[in-house]
Amino acid sequence: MHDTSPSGRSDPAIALSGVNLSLGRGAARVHILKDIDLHIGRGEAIGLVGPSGSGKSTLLMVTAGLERADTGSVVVAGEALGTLSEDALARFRGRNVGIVFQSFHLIPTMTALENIAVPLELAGLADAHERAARELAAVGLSERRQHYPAELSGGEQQRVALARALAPNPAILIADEPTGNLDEATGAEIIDLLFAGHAQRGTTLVLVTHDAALAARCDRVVRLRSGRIEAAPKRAGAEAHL
Amino acid sequence: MNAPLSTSFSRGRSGGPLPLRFAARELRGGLRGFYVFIACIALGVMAIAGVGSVASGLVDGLAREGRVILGGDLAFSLSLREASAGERAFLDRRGRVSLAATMRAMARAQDGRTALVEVKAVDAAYPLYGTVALDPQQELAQALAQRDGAFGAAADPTLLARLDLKLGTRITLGSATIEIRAVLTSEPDKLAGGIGFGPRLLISETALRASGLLQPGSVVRWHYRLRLPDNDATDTAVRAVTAAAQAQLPEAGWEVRSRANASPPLERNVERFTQYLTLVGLTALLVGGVGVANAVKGHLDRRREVIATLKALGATGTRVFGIYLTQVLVLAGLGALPGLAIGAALPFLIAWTFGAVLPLPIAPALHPGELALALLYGLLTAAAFALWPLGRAHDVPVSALFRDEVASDQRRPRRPYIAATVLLGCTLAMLAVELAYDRRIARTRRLFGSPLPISTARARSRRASSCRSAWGLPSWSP
Repeated sequence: MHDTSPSGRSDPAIALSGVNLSLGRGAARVHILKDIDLHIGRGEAIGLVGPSGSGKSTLLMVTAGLERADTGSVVVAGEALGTLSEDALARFRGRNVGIVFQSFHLIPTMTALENIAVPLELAGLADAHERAARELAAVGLSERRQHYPAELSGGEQQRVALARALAPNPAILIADEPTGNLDEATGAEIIDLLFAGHAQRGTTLVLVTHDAALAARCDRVVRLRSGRIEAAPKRAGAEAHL
Repeated sequence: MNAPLSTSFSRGRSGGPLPLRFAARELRGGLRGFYVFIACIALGVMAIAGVGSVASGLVDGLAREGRVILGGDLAFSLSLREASAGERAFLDRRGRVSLAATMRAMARAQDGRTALVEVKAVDAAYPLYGTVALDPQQELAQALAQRDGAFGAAADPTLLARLDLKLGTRITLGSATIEIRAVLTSEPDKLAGGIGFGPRLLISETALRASGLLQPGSVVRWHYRLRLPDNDATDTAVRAVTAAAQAQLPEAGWEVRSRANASPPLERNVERFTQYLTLVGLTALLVGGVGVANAVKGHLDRRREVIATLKALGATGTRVFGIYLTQVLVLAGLGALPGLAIGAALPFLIAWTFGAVLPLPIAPALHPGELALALLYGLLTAAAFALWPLGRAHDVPVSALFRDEVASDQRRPRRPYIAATVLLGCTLAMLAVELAYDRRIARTRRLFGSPLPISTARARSRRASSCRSAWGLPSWSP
């Protein structure tokens, strides 16, 4: 069993205990996550690293309530996800989890502003567009508010995606290789914005990356291999959390 | 920076028109993939609305021209015998009466050729309503009068062609000599008689009596048309005369028609016409339903990534379903609008284009009920055929966004969506059967597994039925 938890934090933002998950059916069923114990403190930034197929994305999905663990307990932002219905999970995501995808996944028929407003509108906020405009300004794209994704560069699209993820002020921000489709310079800008948002809002950040340097910017690095955590502390201060 | 949503959610709006807003944004991508969908709905709605509107126009036209078609406010018809003196006196007391006798006979030309003709012998009061058009133009009485040893007649042009007759030519009808003095170009009460087996030969009552054709057993039908006084020709008066006839002359055995049901055979023909055209509309809607299902499935397959993204951002499966159902209904509405417009315009187009040559009176008008029903059918059909693929959208997995593989899903939708699909199908079928004027057809088509709406002449049938009830016509009236 692998237990990674920040010492001195009794109420973690994310608490996974004894999590196992298999996907697929019959002979194709694969045991992906194996006995995962992971506690992430509020406001902490975690770099999730590991080779392809090690279970990083699946761990993100479990954390975001997109996959249900076969066994074990998943508590995120104080909610035990295993007890929530599908609809309750969706509402939970809208309130508590912001996701930044590698492929941006902006809605092509909506403008930049509307894309950012989507989670706010889904939450029923009357001032969704005003809040979205502030988020757009925060990522430096005010002048692009009426542009559609196809009219934006990759970097701009990812900035919009980041603004969209941060707009509801989520407790948890999940980023799945956010620079994977960007050039180095653009990627660096995105990462700066990502960490700035994390720092300013106190959001817990879970960042999946193959970039060791990027992972090094996090408070902790959690390494996955073959579905198991083989954690290695990055910083001296963080080592105590493991 | 903004307040956390976890605290401000409860203060936000519930969403209101969010499905409509999102659906409208989705449609910015254009109508690609929906042209067949829209065309199918438009065609089906147009057919249903058009048939309903035309049928209603015909029914209204028949109602408006009822007494012209009937030849009076009321018509009392007897077969094989004339009215007795008492019966005639009963009618004469109630208004102006015109007699018309109809029968089939053989007309013989001078060269020996013969032709079956539909003889109509009228008195001097004919017609009580409308006008007889003759060519050359002349007074009917003058055309039918006895002159130079022959009775006059106006003949259908077909008879002239068939026997190679010219105006002024004499023919023999029974033992009477008849001179063709005019071509009968318009006969106001022609529709009331239904389809004839030969061309019309219009003669005077005197000529018929002189022909020797009135023998015991001759198949002659005697029509006594009654025109009520102009100051007392209300519907109430019509009902009163009908009731009086039934009460005072119960043994008369005559067939009574009022201007409200001037021509039952014609009404039946309109029904058949409507039925045929409605089948075209039903087929269009059926094809449209298949087109709808395919178009929606294709669209949702293309939008799976967007759906997954919406769900990742907090949209529930139900919310996603609502957004895309709204989109489907908006698209169905887009298809229905031109269908309704063309369907509503159809009676006007027919009246404008063919009004002069149509043998039926058509009163073009907007019929909101017919249009609303056609729209309802269109939307129900779209929803019924779209629910299955829409139900699948509920369960589009978000997890695929992390793997960049948003593959099509062929699983069955959840039970509520299956139940809703069945319910809508049943609703369509029930609506079709309940509103069909020929339920046998509706049920037969339903057996083949399609919720086919039949919108035909239900309004006409219901109106006709309610009219008959309202008129209080006796049971011995057809």
